[in-house]
Amino acid sequence: MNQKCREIQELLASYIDRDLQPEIREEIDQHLPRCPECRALKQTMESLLERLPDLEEEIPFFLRNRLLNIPDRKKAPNRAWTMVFMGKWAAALIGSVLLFLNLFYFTDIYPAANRTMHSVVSQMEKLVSQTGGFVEKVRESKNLLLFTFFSKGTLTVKEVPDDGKRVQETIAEQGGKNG
Amino acid sequence: MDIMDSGELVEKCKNGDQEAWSMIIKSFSKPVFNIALNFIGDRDLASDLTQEIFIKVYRNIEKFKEDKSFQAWVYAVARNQCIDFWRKHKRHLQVDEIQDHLAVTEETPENKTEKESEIRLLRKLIRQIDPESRIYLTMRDIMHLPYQQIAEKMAVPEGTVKSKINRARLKLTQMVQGAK
Repeated sequence: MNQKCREIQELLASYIDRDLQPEIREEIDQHLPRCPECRALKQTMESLLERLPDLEEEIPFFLRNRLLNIPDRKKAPNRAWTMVFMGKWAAALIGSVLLFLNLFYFTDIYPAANRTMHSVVSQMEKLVSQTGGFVEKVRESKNLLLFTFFSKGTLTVKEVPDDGKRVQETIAEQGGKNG
Repeated sequence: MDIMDSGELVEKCKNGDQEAWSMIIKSFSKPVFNIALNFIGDRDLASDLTQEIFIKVYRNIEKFKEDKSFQAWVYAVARNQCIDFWRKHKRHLQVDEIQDHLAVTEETPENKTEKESEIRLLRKLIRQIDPESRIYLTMRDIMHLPYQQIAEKMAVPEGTVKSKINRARLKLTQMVQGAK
């Protein structure tokens, strides 16, 4: 294919549409009988343009109904989908709350929050030191206190506050290592 | 089509008038569906895309400025949605998936006609034209709209529409020749 054919082929669509200036149209008229390649391309294009309208379709009935109902969908969102979305958010919220509570109730990440326990430990240390011994804390959390104390004399602890409700009395025997 | 450009219809639609919305659907659903269908080449996907286009039209109708052409605005939404859809799903749409889908639908008796298979081939070839030109070609050669109307609807110069259509026709013709 030479340059002339390339130029003619680019103008073929306008030629078929009769949308060219007369002198250009005349030039193409003269070229086509001499060039089988451009002539074949023109015939294929004409045949194609005849067939293309067959690609137009009526809109499917179900789709038309769906389109007509768009305003209703906006007013009243699908209840099932709403439930699904709300359910997901609710589950996420419950999960977050449980995770948050877990930090305080089931771990000792925030021991400072348990003031009562700290109070017990400090009083214990104070009392044990009066007898010449000492206390070694092993583990503490909200509901659990483990400690080891070493004492030379008899130690009596009265009124160990635990949430301000209970009064405990703990007696540590002399010379022992107790928990 | 004058009524489509009147602010009255849009205003009614903004106020939730179902009749006004029905008129919009009546006027635009077929051309928009055909643009989507020949843009993607698959009836089911085109139905979904058409629905997405009209949902967008309905949700954004508040933003439409009444000093502009409503039909040009609707076609702009359709064009943008089609091109967005193409960008997102280009990899799958260009080759296998559509062919596989068509191969499944091929089994039904009504699809076995020669005309149907020719239409499938043409849609497959049209998908290989660049997205913008594909829309213009559909409007001109499938929906038979005059160049001037296409230029108005798509808010582009008539010369641009013509040159894109001519190039698309040439490419499609060469592909048809190659497919023979």
